[in-house]
Amino acid sequence: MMTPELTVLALAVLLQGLQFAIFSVSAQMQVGPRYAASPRDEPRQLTGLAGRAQRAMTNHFEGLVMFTAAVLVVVAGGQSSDVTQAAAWTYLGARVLYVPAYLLGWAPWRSAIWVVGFLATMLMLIAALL
Amino acid sequence: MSPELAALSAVALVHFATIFVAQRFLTRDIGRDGNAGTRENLDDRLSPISLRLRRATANFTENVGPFIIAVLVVVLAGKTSTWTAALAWAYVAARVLYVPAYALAWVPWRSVIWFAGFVATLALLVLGLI
Repeated sequence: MMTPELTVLALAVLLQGLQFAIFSVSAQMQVGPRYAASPRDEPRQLTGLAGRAQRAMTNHFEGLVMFTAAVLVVVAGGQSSDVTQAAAWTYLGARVLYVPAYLLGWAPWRSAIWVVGFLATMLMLIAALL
Repeated sequence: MSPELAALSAVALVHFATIFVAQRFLTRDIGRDGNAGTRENLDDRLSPISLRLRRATANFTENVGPFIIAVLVVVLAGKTSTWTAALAWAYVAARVLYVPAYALAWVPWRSVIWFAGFVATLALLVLGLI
């Protein structure tokens, strides 16, 4: 059954697909497609926009794993409720905002936005466990 | 056991195999003591092929998260089909090929192979959502 949490989870990955596109384009503009396709034996540090796009993407890969666990526990455990659904959408909203917050250097709002997504994930898990 | 879940299991086995191969090269470079030690300045002590295998492993770790989500969404939403089974196994094939493509510097095929796995993941998600 397609619960709202599962829909949000799928949309979160599509967001990550978009984040990858932003990262890939900005990074290739910086280092060139030839280096990108090479085995990258000489490490190159991305700077500026490309570096921010990379760090934002890496952060979402990390956050996605915990969110996946939360959705799995809620859905497989049959614990979906208004609270878990609202938390799931809150997570997605935070992760969407996180991208411009990183790219445009909204400090300290990027950190605040990250905390919202993190707390939403934790809230889902706690609501499912109670 | 749907074909998608079987593919997910296969992906985990491919991941373990990749780690195993990377660790064999790491042990070749720095010995058992270096492997069991606390690995200070590890990158400076490893050969290019070990570093490539470690980058391939890191890439695997990033991309397996979205694939797990894609399989989860398709299976839990009851949207499995011949298409989703083929896409899931295409992902497995891409990740198997990715390891030699990185280690042996198949340029630009490594990028092409990576992209095939990425597209398979996104296609699975879209089929789960619609």
